[in-house]
Amino acid sequence: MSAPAEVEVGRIVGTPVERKEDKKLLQGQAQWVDNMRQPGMVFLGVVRSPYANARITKVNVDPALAHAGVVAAWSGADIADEWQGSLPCAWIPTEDQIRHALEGNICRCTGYQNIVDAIEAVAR
Amino acid sequence: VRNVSLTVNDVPYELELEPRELLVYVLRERLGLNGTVVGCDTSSCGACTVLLDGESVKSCTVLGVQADGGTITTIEGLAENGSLHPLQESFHQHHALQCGYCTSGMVLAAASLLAENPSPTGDEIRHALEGNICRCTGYQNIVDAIEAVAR
Repeated sequence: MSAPAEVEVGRIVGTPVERKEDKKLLQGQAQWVDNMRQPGMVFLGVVRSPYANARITKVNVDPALAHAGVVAAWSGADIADEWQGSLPCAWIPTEDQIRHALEGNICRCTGYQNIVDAIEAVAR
Repeated sequence: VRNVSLTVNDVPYELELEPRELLVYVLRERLGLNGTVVGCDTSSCGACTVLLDGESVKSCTVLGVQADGGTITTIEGLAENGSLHPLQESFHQHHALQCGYCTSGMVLAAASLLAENPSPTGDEIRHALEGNICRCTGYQNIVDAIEAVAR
């Protein structure tokens, strides 16, 4: 079987191929999700703890709600009932992910391995 | 609310800005210049880099009111009469972009470098780009693209 006549040998393989999408990307004309606006669209911001390991004693969302245009503000406690468990995952969590999710929880009987095992058993 | 005068890509604007408004959101939300993008919002990534009075700044770390009276160039203002700026053309020729999200910032950081130092060494180019992150791992080609324009 011979190559189609119009294909020049070495024209594509081993030769830089010019990208077709660059002109928009280089001139700031690309459409990013962040550019899109839909009717009724609102924005969500997540405020995370500034401390790597700390206990939350209180979250006050009132100052956030006091801002003009704020639709809603929730703390983790406010939406705790929205989940079946404490690990909202769209996939089966790995052991590393389980350990990461438990980083804010201290056990002083050193029972972490069994805690991880217990969670893994439910996740499977 | 403060009255702020800005010249962006040769167009003069008179704006009423809240003191808290960041320059990047002034450009994106108020002026509709979406070529300047927000990558990290914490001045780590450089995706929002624009030229303010000829020098590169991270527009997520500049307040709109701080730019009062200033002249700004964004990625939309680089091409002239429909032809790409030499840096834009060189980025294209050298495959210096993949997804393109860092590209506006990279090109403007490079433009600022070349305005300051028209013949930078490879090391000087890399040093000048330290504030700009590319996650498609395109640094080598970006440096090549800038070197080609610098010569």
